[in-house]
Amino acid sequence: MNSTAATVEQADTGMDGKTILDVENLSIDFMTDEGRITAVQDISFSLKEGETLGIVGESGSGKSVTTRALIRLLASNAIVDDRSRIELTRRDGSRVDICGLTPGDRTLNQIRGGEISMIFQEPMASFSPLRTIGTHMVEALQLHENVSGAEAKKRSIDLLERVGIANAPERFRQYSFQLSGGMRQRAMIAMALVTRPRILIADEPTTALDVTIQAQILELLRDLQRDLGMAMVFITHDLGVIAQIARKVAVMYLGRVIEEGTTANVIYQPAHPYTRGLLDALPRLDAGARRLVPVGGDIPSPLARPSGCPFHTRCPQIIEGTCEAAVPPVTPISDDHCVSCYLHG
Amino acid sequence: MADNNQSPRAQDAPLIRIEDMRVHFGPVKAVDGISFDIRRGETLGLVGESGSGKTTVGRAILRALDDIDGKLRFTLDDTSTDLRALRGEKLRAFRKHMQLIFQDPYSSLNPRMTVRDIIAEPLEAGAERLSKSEIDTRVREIAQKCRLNLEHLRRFPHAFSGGQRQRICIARALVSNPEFVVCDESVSALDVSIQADILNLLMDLQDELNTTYLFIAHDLSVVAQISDRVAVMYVGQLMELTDTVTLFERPLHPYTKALFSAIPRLDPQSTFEPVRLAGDIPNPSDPPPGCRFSTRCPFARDRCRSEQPAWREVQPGHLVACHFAEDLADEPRSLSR
Repeated sequence: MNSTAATVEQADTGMDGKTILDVENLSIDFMTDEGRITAVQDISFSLKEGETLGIVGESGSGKSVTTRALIRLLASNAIVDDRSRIELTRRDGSRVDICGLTPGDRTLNQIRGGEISMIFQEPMASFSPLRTIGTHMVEALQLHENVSGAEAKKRSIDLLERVGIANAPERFRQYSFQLSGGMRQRAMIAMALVTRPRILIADEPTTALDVTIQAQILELLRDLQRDLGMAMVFITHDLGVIAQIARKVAVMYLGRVIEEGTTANVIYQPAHPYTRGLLDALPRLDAGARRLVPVGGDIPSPLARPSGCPFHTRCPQIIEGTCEAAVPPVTPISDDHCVSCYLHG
Repeated sequence: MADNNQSPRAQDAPLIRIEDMRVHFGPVKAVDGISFDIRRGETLGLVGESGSGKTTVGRAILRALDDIDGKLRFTLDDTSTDLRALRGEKLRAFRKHMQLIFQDPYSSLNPRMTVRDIIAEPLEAGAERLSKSEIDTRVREIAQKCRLNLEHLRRFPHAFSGGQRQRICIARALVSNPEFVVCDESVSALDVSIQADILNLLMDLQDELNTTYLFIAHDLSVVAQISDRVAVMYVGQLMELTDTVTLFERPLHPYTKALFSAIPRLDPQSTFEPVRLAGDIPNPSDPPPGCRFSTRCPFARDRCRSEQPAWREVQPGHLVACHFAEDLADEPRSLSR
């Protein structure tokens, strides 16, 4: 039908790239009026050049907090555990631990937007209604590179065209509210990419979009990734979207990664009871089945975090006396596939 | 699946018959000439993208709106009621037959009312005069059916999770034992693991109470899961309507096909090839002449741009608004998964 269609495997060039981001033992708590809440607990993952890592999880899984920590975009009541490390290999080859940087640090400002960019669910909130699309893009570019206004404008317009915005010079002069939802999302992607970041964090970038527009944006992100060779961390609650965009996926539940592997392994051979439950609970297009298999119970409140395996309160295969006693260790079950569950290993 | 035989008996008449319904808000033609039936006891899914007018259809049937053109009839116990003509006390009395379940269980429950009072409100506000103990009995009955703990009735909504709140909303909608319920994106705000539970509950309650649902949603998989038939809307008009299996396996309208092709498949090894649609969804205050989809349709011809396609039955029970539905039937994009 068209030449740019590709499976995830073809778009993702990260299979043998160098590791550029190494997250180890990331734990984040928040102090709130109601007490100390654990949002993320002991998470480790790595990202190679040109690779896409999907992070899937429901409300309260900690997926957004995890990715916000990568550019230290955390609220002031956040407490990052001392053992946490987020090691970024920078453009010049030097390595820096983002957890060791303080807000306002020069290096941090260079990394934010310069090496790691982020796009969000709601593009309207990413643009000031008082400034044009062009002003945003030129400002971002000149903050990170020593380029003239004319050069910045040219690069911005080129990129607007690249993300599929018609009449790019005109759109450059317009405000975000003059664009349709899909166009706005494209403009936000262009703004995030104008500095040619090496890592793009996409936090539910298609969740608010209609399905036909979502398809366009997913294709665009895949094409851009292939052309620019950037790595991507893609957060979503939608496993179908993960299947189409990410070669690797981490499944999160209540602040922990409970299963991780290639998307094909995780979807075709889910090992954790929660992952299996999530897949069984998904409505299917081939109707007729009518009844769904819900994951029993509710997601526990973050104030009443279960001990041991966070899923044990809802798990149909709970091993009494074991699962609630301690957090299960991460067990490899094949190459590129590991699970944190006592049923394995 | 219900059959298509036209019987003269009123009991066999559709619960709701809509003919050439129009709802305009100033220049915005939110709903612009749609005709369809809602059959007794079925779940009719209504899908469409932002601005398609699907929510307005639900609100119009529930008479949450006043300026409605066209015909809108509700047939109950051999009596056919013209919904458009209902006013004042008569409309209020009729509301017990028709209810709405909203999308957001956080904003649709009054935080200052107990769960019992929230569920009882439709009974207390209705035209029926019921004693307090009668109301209490009915609240307890429906709460149990909605799998709410009776202990919960004394509490306030803030103490509940999203799934529990939506069960409270469902109990409130069903307490007056309505014939017809509009579910407007009723599971869209819920997590997948909770959403399945609410969908199951809605289906169980339908089996038990024989309620008819109009299930409005943008998520096609959810609609496929719960609906007996599905209608597809685009910019204020219906594009296609048939039983769920036929619609997903052999869609005829190019818009339906494009919509289905855009759903990300849960299969990392599939090639994702959504039909590329040119341009944006037209503005409902300035819809294109002819077919509403002609500006983006990959198969559009001159006739499509000038002449509005008739809403016609191409196969028994399969309605479509496309001049070339038969010619395009074998174009790709049938769905197999």
